[in-house]
Amino acid sequence: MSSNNIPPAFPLEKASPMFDCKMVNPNGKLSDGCLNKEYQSLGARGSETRSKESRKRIRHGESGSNSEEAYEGDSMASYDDMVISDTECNSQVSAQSAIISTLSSFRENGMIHPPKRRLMSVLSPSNMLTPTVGDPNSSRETISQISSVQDHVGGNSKVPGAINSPTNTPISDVEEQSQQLPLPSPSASPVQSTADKFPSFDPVESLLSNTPTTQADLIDLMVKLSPFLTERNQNHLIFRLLQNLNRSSLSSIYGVIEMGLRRDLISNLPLEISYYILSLLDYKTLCSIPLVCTHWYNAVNNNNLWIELLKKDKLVASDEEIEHEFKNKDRLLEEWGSSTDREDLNVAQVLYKKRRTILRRWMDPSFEPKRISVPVPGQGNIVVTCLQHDEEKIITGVDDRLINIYSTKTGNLLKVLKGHEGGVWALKYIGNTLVSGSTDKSVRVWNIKTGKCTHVFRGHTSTVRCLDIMLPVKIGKNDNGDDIIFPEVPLLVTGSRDHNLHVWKLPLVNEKEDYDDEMQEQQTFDCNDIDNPYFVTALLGHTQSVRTVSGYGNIIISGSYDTTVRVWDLLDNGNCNHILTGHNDRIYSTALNFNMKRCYSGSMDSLINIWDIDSGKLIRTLEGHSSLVGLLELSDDYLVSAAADSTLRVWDAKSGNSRCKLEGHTGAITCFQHDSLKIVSGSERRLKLWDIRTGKFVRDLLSDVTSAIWQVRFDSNRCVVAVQRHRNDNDETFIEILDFSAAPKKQN
Amino acid sequence: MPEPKVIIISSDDEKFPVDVKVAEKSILMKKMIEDLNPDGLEEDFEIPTPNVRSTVLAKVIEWCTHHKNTVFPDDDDEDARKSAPVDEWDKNFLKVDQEMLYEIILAANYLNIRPLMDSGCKIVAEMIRGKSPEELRRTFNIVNDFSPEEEAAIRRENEWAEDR
Repeated sequence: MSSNNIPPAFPLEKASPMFDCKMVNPNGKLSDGCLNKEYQSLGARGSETRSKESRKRIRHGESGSNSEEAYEGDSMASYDDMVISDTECNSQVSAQSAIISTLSSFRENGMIHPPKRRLMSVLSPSNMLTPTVGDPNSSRETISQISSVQDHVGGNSKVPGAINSPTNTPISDVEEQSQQLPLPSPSASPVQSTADKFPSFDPVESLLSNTPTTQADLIDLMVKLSPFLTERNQNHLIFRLLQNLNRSSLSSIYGVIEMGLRRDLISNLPLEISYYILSLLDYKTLCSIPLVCTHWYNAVNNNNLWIELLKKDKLVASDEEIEHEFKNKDRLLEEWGSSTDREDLNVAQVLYKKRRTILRRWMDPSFEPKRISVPVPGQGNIVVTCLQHDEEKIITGVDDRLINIYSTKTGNLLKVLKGHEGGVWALKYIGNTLVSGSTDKSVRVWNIKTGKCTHVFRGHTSTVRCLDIMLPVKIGKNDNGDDIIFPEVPLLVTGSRDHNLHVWKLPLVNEKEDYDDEMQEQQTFDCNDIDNPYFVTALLGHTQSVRTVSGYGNIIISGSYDTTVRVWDLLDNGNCNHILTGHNDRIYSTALNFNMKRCYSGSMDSLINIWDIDSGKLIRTLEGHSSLVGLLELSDDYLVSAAADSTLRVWDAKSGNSRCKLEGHTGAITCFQHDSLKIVSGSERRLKLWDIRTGKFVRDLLSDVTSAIWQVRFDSNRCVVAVQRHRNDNDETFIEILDFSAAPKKQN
Repeated sequence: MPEPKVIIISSDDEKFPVDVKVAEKSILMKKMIEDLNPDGLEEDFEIPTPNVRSTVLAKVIEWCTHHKNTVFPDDDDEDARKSAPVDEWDKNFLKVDQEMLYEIILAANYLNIRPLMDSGCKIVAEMIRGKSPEELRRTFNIVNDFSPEEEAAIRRENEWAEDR
């Protein structure tokens, strides 16, 4: 039994040779090997892979011993054709240059083989001594070289460095030529006929004439003889020699071979393949690669590679974001590029560095972001009901009738929009067009540039509690394969405590620089006015307050205190397609995924339902929360819910499977936002950051809030929070800006 | 009558008779078979692969045979293709020297066998992942061609990525 475990001492002893080390054509003449190699070099000189033609012909010659003689004649004939046509007609430049280049290749590479003699014989006629082709010098050199070779015939050979790789002809010392002159035996081949002009000389015989007496001599002899084998048979010879080796020797040789076969795969593979390989790597490795060598440096210095990685690592949410960053390319490079001034600095790589660094700061509890605290003007208990921001501005709606616009960078109060006569409870902007809904039952459209109200939409009979803006989008393809765009113009949909929703055409602010909008006067439109150019339709059906609305394409979904979610279709004149019933308490939150044809609803009954908006069927109910699910937010991968039970839950957006539960808050969640990497959530006195992928708590972002956190929004650079502090028996409201994006200090 | 075979011929004229199903793992061969045999294969059909030598071709065919019933992610779904881990069998199959790996990737590329190419590329990516520049040079037998100044500059450019 145990003997079975002992490996054979000569592992290859019984192995059978694979394809290209199988012996072929055992009766082949020794000249075949050399001739074939010669021929090969004609076809594939300087190229790593042999041309298929030369390989084919070589193989052709090797296959089947029957046709062997015929092949040899054939092959020689074609070879001769070339030579003869050359000698007979000097005008055939191409043929001649082929010969000359072959000759010079021999010279360059020091490759000398028996057929060389044939070539010399071709060169002997006088017409070849006065070459007519482009490069007379090279041919003269060749000729003189060859004659010098002739002088050496019979001279002592040096030890040849003849190594035979599968793709190259044997390399040997120039002087060795003499050893490899023609072969004695071949019958009536053209080799013989031309060879007759010279004194007959057999290199094999010559090699064998001296009996080797030392180990070195024998090795020498064997190495010198091996080029007379065809390539495959040389491989076979080596295979046979390997069969005689024991394990240790094989292991040593294996090591040498393994080292020798290592190659620079990134530089050697076709560009698109090495690009693909690099695109599989992480940023840390990609930052190690440039140090390897110039070629690798250049391979990684590729904008697309880093743009793909930015998206893959979720460091940017959209192409627009990248475009936006690239607009300020110079600044980006100046702030985040390295201090070295290499001109080939890759913008996308610098952007990656910026985003990655900023993300680390977010996730590092010891990093203190730059903080700006802005007191909200006004007296007493001011509730910030809505907040939206971008790189330039922060817009808040407050329950004391005002809309405030702050500078994101400085925190300065830029504008106060006055007009509503009741608290503002819904607000959204796009470009410079802002819409707001208020307890005063009106909807107002504002120009953010001028701070003026341009339109007042009336018609709701109670507080406007929610609204959404619907931009024209692709909703499908028509029969001709063209995109269907809907709605045709931007729309505004508003939901109210009066149980109804209204759809309006949204008059966008003219964004052109030179447009003078100072002159525009505020106009009021009532939905009951037949001539109203903005009113589209009213969506009637809910029997209690409409608390939440989302619209996309032709679909609007609304959630109401009447416990239903309704699906409205604007392509069908705003008809209510489905009444989604299933919840048994008020709906507080909804989310819509138009492309997946799904919507999600969160309710006072502590459940979340997933609905199919095409069929109106309930797909799944997500259980887990123990009280009101007040907030829902949907992204490509995640559905995040926040509840009054002081927890947040992360669900798989597609399957609805629970991914994690975020525990740590001590009161109802009042606000939160998520992206593909993190969640920021607020409850009484606490603003927490979580890792969305693991569900792990990362850090508290604000520790000095003594009362409520009303609103939070963030982007990659900043977090903007509306908080309340209790001080001196007074509640004071602040906008807090936490900035993680400071450019690193330059090291010079 | 036995099913007609596809005879794949390597650059060195070795003949490999395989089932149509195996050959069709190569999109190139699949298209060739379909285009030249619109009514289906009625007799043995030879396909020369002049860029692939027999030892490599044998490996590629071994892969195709093993995977003849495997359903792979859609070629167009690049994210799915990239994120899929390398099949365990493929991992072992591709435990070969770098020259062979190189030639297999080239052959898979030429024959348009996307999943084999993906596996090969992922294996190369694994050889690279997490390695220091020095280790990479050793692994791929590369000579550092930077001057010390250049190297220092590039190091500074990329040090942000290091763990802190």
